[in-house]
Amino acid sequence: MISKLCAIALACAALPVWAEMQALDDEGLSQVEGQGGVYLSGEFSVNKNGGVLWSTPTTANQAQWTADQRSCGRNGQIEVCGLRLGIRSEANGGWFVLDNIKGIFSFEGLTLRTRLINSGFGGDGAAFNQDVLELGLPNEMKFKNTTFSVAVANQGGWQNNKTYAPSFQQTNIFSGQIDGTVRVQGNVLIFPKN
Amino acid sequence: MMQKRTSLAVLLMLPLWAQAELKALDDESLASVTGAGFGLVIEDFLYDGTNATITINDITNSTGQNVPISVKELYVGATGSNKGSNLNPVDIGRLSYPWTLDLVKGENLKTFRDDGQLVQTLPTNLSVLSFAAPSKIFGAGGQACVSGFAAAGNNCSMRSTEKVDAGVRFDFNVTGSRTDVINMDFTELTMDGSYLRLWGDTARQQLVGEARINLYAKTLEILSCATGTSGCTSAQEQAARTIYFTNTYAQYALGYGKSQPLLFDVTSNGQFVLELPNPVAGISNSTTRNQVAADFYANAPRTNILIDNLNFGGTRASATAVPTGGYNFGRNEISGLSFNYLKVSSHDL
Amino acid sequence: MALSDDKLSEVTGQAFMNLTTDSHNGLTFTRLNLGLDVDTQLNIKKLELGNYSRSGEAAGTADIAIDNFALGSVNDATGAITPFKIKDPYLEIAYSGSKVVGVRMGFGEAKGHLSGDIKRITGNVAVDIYGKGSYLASQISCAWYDLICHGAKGIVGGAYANSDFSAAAQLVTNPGGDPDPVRAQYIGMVDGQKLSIPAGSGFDNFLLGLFSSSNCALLGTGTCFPLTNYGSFPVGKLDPNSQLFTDAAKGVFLSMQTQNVQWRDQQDTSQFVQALAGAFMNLPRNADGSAAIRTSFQEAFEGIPRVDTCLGTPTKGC
Repeated sequence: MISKLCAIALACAALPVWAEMQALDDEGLSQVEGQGGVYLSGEFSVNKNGGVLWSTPTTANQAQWTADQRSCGRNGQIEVCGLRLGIRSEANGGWFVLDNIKGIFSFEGLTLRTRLINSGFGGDGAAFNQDVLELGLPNEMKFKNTTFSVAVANQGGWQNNKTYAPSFQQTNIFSGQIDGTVRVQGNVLIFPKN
Repeated sequence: MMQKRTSLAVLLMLPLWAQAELKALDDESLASVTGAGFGLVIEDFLYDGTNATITINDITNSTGQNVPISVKELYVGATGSNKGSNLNPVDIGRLSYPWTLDLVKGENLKTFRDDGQLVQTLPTNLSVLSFAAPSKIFGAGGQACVSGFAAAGNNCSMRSTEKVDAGVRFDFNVTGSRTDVINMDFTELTMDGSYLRLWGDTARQQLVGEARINLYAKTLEILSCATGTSGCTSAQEQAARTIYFTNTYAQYALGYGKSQPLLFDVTSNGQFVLELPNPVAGISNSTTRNQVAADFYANAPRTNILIDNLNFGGTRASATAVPTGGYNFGRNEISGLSFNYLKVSSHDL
Repeated sequence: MALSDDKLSEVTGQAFMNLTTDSHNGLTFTRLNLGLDVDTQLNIKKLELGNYSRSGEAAGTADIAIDNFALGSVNDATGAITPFKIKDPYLEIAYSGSKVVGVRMGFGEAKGHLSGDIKRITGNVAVDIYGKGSYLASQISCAWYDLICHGAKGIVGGAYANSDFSAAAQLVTNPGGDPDPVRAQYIGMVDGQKLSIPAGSGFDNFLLGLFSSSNCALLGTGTCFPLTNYGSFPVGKLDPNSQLFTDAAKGVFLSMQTQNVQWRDQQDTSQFVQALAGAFMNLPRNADGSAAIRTSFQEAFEGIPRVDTCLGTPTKGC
């Protein structure tokens, strides 16, 4: 019994010798591919129920809103307002605005991993021979009531120019709204250039 | 025993260090170092928006009412898609000629002139953010920008496997009584040589830029009716309502960093202004003005638009053949367009 | 229809573009209007629209072919630029049912110098030629036996020496004096066109009515001139003394159509402009009857030199 244990112990003692780590030479290193990665699925909603700045008024008539109310609907509808992003590219100039960004979008199967490319791509892969960060696009993205507006304004924040701030001026250039499922597939490969 | 092994391991590693030791790059290699940046390529890309409802709002009619524009049939895929009905994935960019995002000094970011010379278009000693499409190739390896059409040049980098088919359809209803349809389909579309460069201009205290948008397409077709509706069902009816562009390109050039940066800003009353200033404005010495002007005319990129064949209502014998029948407008060209000055300001209608 | 208060309160952003529709003469139109003020000074080395074979025209020609096209001008002495001004451009599509039969790009208002080596032009180019009797008389040449001609020359150079004469000109064939709206190379007075004195009496104009242009000649003086003589055209009203533009031309447009299309005239919306099939440039008369382009007799006979459109040493081709 003890001799068996000793034999096992000796066998175990021998194993580390064979498994002792050796520095891999460059050739060996280059063959190691990343095995791990990230897989992401989710549903994001932005300002689905409005934001913290503005509460929803009861009328669509802008002149009757109180100081902390704003509705972003059209055609007499009352709607909560979405995210607003303003960018000023000139000292003392006006603002480019992405306004009313709101909605729900969901996707499944966004992946992130590193990958070595040294073949394929119509012959480019072999010459490339580099690691890349691969962002795998989900095959489908679902949108629900997702909106945004592109505008220019003379102030970064929105103000009610029918009542409290008559000097505020915003010109909506266009707005977009997306509903439904979009099929988008592909792998975005990101790598440093020399 | 262990000590011997350890030293052996250490000894084995020494030559590795020697092989991996840093070497100073010689000047030739340094010249190709364009700066820190990322390359981007999308492998096997496909976009199909046919099952989503996309609407563009806030474009109004003359009484201020919203005219919603419905965007349908939006797709991007490989060439040969037969106007999006047979979508296959396509590679956007090549590993050797990727889309790039860089932050680089102005004097290190050179631009290809139309004759292949590399020139500096940006001011010296400032940091420029550059987002660029795959660059052109002058020399070996250049691809035809429009297949079978030499006048578009042979200095593109995208091969036919990286050119896309793309399309979109806009439906809008201005009066309420009829719906206008604009259904566009591109084949073999590529954007080699395009870029957007942005930097801060201290004297003007604003963000300025220069941009070039190049679009090369073998064909573009614009159908003005909704397929399947009355008057738009047979191939003949659809052909009569199609505008055909064959062998076409547009190279838009906006801005020349050294003397005419592109200015885009919003005024204090909420209107936007796009400006290309006079390159010699503010220079009092006439010899200097002449030098700046000569440099501008020699090196600033120009806008060129060419439609080798424009036809309304004809029919094509094959997917990329020049149409016969209909009204043939033939060749249309604007070449060498250069702005000494441009200011576009919006106002309310 | 006035917007109700409710609707009015919703119009938060004004807009710089809108869509309008129209329908007349059996066609329907959709138009995108852009509220833009465009000031520009530009050069185009080659502008060619509609290069296709067209019956009755020489092979290899185009409907519109202009080399060294430019808008606006520069002053090399100071480096300053006088831009060409465009207001409220629009893009309009003409439909016959659901078929596109024409597209036009127009300008609500346009003023400034338009320059180029015009090889061919198709369209409606209205020109008013004006000048003093004294200059006109100096250009009239009469055969020794032509007493009527000598008489007319005497009157024009004598009693009417200080009167302002005017003649309407358009695209013509030369020789021939026929209107030539397609791929024209000449501009001048058509057969039967007469001189007039706008400020003159009925009698003055009766006298002048006896003489009309025929086969590109009037009283021994040529009345048709090659377009290549004109390096630059002023679009809009140019004050010859101050060399400043005092008024804009309305109704300028560039269009392409597969059949003759009546486009609505911008300056008199009850009128229409007939554009012929092909590429077409419309530089029309203003609402008050004055032409978009006004030149003097001297400029008509001697040509108009091209204004400088390039910074630095060149004047064109930059």
